[in-house]
Amino acid sequence: MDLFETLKRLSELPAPSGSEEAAARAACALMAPLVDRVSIDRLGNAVGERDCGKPGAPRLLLDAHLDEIGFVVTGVEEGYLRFQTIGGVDARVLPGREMTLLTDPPLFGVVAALPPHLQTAEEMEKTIPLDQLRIDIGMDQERAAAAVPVGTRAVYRAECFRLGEDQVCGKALDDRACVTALLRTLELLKDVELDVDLTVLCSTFEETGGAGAATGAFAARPDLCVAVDVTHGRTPDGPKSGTFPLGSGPAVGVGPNMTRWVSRKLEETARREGIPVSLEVMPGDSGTNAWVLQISREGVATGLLSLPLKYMHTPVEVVQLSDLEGLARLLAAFIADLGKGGAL
Amino acid sequence: MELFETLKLLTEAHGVSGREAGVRAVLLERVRGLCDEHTVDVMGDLICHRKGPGPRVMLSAPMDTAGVVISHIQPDGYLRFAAVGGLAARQLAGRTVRLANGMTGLIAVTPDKAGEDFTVSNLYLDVGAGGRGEAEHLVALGDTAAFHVPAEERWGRVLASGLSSRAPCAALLTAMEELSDSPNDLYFVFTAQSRTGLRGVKTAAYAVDPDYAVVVDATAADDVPEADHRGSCVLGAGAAVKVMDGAVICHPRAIALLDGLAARRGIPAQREVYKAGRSDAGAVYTTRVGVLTGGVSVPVRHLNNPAELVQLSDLRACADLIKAFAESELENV
Repeated sequence: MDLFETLKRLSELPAPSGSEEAAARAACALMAPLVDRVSIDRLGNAVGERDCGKPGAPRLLLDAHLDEIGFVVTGVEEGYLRFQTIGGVDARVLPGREMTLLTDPPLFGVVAALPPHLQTAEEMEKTIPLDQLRIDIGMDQERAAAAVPVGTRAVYRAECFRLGEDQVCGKALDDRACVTALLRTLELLKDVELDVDLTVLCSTFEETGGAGAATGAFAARPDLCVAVDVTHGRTPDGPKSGTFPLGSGPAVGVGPNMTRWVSRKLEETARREGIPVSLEVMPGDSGTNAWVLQISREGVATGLLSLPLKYMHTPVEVVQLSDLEGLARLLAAFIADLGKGGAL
Repeated sequence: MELFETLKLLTEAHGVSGREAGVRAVLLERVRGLCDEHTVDVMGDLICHRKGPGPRVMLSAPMDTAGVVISHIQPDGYLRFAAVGGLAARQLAGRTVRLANGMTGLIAVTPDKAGEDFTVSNLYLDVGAGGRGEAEHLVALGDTAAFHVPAEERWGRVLASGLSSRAPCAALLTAMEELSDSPNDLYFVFTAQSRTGLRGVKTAAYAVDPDYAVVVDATAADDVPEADHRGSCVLGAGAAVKVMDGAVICHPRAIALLDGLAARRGIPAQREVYKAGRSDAGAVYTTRVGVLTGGVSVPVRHLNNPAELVQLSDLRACADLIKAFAESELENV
């Protein structure tokens, strides 16, 4: 599997929370040769299942989310679109951005931005509140109102491209880089005999609270789960603690959201396999699907692996392919070692 | 029954979150004979089952309103209280409220805080009791009170207290009364404790385990002076088909089904995006393996104020759309 090409294919699809169908179909197509069954469930999760063939085998659920942050149109005013956000959008980076509106066929839009020449010194210092921003689709009121009904979704329009030698830049790398890593994990395990049944949950609604993970886990009834999501990559303007340089490998989550033996086993596996990792200590909610997965039904042993990513929730997110490969190798080694002798 | 009469009946009933017995009793009277069986669950939800061979469909509306709960009786007969369902101190100060026993009281601000910033702890309720003994004769700790502005109709619009839950209940009840044959296994649910965080509907949806759900609730009408346009709906434009609120993003199929029914049956409809509010749908769609959830909302002006305002034509459209959904042939999911 070509990691860059797979990531490019997945991340360029539009899939804001609640409208993930395009990404779910692509994920199913990519998973199909690597698992026994694929399906799309009621809340739109793309689910891949691989059976180990051993009766009573424990089930491991791997989760990475399909959805990205986005926008929803709330009205049309003089041809310009009013909108609200889906998930944690940073309003500071919006003016001047390109958008794709999920009409059929899709329309292009740009977020209106007042030129610097027309701004006062005071205005240049301030972030424009969301309710004053508009999307320009180059139409008058009548045409815009007919072409874009209230409720139409939009996402950032951005190409996925290589940055330098081993880094990749694009939108929605949070979390399709991790979906790509799960596909790579399945590929690494293709000819490996396992002692656990696998559910790969490419989940929906993570950016709005984890509804896809909650329902997907309820359906799968796993004994153990590992959530795979992004964490903050280190940048010169960011803090040194809680951020991870790109190229330093995946981060193993440690804290109340993660079951102790799972964190420890992930760390030991990395050491044994010679894969560089960091430990990421989180005092409470990890801000990932691990938070809802852990308390599914009667509770699930939970681990978290995170991929360092720069500029989270912008259209220029950046990840490093060596981290992605390291994460997949670590996860594959962890899974191959699970359930030896019957118990987890 | 005429829609206005139903609204009048429902808005007259007491039913602050957690103390929904009054409004539930009114609803129970009306649903008898309209369903095969009805139950009241532990949370206080009224669950009405009308059996059918098709997919399980849950149609729900919240019956509780925001209000206050008496937390302390002072020796001088004044009552202290806490807010239920997110009412702010400035919304309560200087207002009259009605207790479940029909008695009216006035909420006042302690003089030291008048004209300043104040919280609910600076407010007290005067029910005309001269001392603890008289007060205890009238109220008990845990009793609730709510705004009470009797329903008035003019030009097809209705002003009353509690419309943000009782208008959705009226729409659901009307749909239930006017329903003809349905191929679906229908559950009509009037939920408790919506305003304390979508709690009643959570247990009801778990028990019903529906394939499809349509949550009926209120949405803020955006057609007021200096509107901030955080919502997309206006009064008079018909039933609001929910796309998204602060708790849910509706299933694309549910949105398409409701849009299609409205178009085919000529029911006036608009689209709802309203992030500032949280409807029961947020708890329904994550139930068990997930529920194909949509919403039909009544546009309400002055949401969460002592009086709210709805347009009867919108309410009629909501009832028609809920009825249309209940009667429609639905694919198995």
